[in-house]
Amino acid sequence: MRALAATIIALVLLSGANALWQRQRAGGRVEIEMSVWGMPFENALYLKEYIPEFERQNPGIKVRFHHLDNYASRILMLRAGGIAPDVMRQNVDFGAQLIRRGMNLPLDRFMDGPDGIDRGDFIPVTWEALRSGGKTYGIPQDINIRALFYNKDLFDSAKIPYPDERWTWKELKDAAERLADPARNGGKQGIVGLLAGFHCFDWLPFYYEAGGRVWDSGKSIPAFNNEKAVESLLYLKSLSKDFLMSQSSSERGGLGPYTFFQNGQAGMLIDGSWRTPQLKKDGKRLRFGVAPLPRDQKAMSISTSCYWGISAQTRHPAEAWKLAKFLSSREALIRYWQTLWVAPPARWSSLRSSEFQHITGAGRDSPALPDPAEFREKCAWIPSVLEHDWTTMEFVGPFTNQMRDKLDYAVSDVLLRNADPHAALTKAERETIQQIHEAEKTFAR
Amino acid sequence: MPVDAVPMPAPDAAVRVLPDGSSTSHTSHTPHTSHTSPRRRRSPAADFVAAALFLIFLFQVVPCLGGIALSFFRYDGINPAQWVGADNYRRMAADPTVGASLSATLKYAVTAVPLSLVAGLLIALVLDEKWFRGKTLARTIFFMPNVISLVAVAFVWEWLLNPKFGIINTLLKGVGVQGPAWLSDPHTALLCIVLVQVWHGLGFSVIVYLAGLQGIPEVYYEAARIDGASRWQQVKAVTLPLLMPTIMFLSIMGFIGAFQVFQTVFMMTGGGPADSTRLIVFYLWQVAFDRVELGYASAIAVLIFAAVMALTLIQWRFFRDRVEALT
Repeated sequence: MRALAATIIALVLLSGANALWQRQRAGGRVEIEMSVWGMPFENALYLKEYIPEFERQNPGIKVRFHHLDNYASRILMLRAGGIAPDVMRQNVDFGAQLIRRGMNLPLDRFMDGPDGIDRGDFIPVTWEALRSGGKTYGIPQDINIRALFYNKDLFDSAKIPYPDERWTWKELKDAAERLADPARNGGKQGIVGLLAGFHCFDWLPFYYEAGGRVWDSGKSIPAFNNEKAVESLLYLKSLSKDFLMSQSSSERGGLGPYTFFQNGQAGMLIDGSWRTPQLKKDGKRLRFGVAPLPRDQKAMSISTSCYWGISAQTRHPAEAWKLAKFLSSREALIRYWQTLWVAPPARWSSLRSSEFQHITGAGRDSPALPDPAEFREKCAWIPSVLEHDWTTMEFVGPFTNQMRDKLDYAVSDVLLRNADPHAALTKAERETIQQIHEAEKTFAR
Repeated sequence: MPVDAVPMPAPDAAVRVLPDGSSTSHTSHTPHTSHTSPRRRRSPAADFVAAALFLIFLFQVVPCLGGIALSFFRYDGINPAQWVGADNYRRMAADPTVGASLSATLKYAVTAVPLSLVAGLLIALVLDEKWFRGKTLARTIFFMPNVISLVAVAFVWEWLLNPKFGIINTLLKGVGVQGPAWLSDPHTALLCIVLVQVWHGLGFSVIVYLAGLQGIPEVYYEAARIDGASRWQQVKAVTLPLLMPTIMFLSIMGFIGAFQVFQTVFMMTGGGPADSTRLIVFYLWQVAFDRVELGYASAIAVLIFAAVMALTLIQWRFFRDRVEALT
């Protein structure tokens, strides 16, 4: 009993000592915490550039940096424990429902206040997922876009002109068939015409190009059970000869479709803009370009976006706002793009600047792109897509995960098991509504 | 005798002369010492066990009870928990994905566990043979996968099973067989998970079987040999019955483990293709962290607990008579 009491007292004393030490370390400054995910080499940007510069500009604020794995789960658990970081990098993928549940602080009073930002400088589509109930819950950082990657050597060998923004579904299919046919591709064996995964996000761009939408205007009722969805599913199925490839571009074993494209075994790949630096780094012999996705009724792609959110639990909202605003400033976004170039900046002023075309890289981990011609063939499509508003985040909402779960099944059921698209979509719609009905009960009033 | 034992009273002080002249000695119920009360000695083992029990209670029992309690609430980790009674269980009964995931898990279990039991036994029987050389090396080789992280194992097996340049399809191609897209085909993906898990856990079964085999007295085999039993008859009549406690243990542990498979699914298939590998624990994780419904996920966890308990009781009943017959 005495030993137990001594242990408890020691633990209490240690906690107290830790609290005192923390206060002393802050040195009288306001201490705020920020969290990110990503590759470890990305941390250097925050630790060596952003945070020192921010602290220099704001001497009364100290920033504690956290790099978290299993990010969405971690910040949720931190929130449940009452210790969520003040400033959190979030992705609309998982962030939209967290916003709807009340995780983030509304930022309108800061954005429109004396220390505010110019909302018009941000690409409009990046605000879509950050608004809920008439309020805004984050500042956009970047936007990634799905695009068409093409192998220039294989296109040259098959005598096909490189894809551009005028390509339609017909050109895509014709090219895929020609690239895979040894009789027409210059005698190359075992080449795959087009690579893509078979999840719902691989199908959605085609659906949007056919003129479809996923949600009603309130983003709570699914609207994907229609003829446009069937048409686009059947088109995607017609593109596929077989499904020897892995499941999706984010396959964890590092064996996603991009691996085959990187090794020169595929003529084309549909993937996100984040794939470009990785292919440049790892595809040493690969000559490739990137173009917007081919169009149908309209040109369209899908995007997701990272943003900076402030925890609703923060005890230092003004300081947290300063940091979030700094991290999404024109200069910070340009620097982020120049170093990592995985997703273009969410600000027009950054995107339209001359610095946007100067990719410096980050040493061994992220290659530079010094040649303007190479920049044009790999990155010039980005401003074109954004300026023409050829991408959407319409599918992002508080119930995206419920929708995606059911649509993933429907899409792979049609593509892999030859299920009837009408039946598959009807089932997905019914089950999504059921899941939404249950999920709505857990949302904040 | 412990040094602090209560001293016996002095003999003369304990003798009492009775009226008829006989004498009797009595043991005083109070010790004849100058000390006031006996010092009770506690075993130090109790302290060590108490510490461990406390930690088990704090980090296992309390969270379990907390999880059961949470299953009666609606909770997303962000807003206060809201009491909903049995609503999560009602929802579970109506959720087709729960049924589908349980079904996939049962399919997995009834494939992986018998496979592991039979394969482990066969390997152990061979290793236990007198003519087998290199027992120690063989045991090490079979057990090595068991000490490797399942995440690393899943990684390697994804490469082996790759349809384009994985070694398995390359070997099949060498004999003129077109291998399937193992992890991308709904008909083969679950089988791959079974294969990886059995491969990973086989060494444990082999080691446990070997321990069981070495506990079987040689005299039974001698008696069987004298009676003219063949090797197979010896296995059937001597080895298998006497190994029943071991088989029971491995079977129960195997089914418990089958209902906890997560890492291989997470790493290799993500629950697909077409939900063919969405086992129940993976679905629980999706509900908890993708959909942020911790109360409902806790209810699913209670369901898993109940299912595992039921299966354990069924196996217990099945094996009990066979094990008791040995005593």
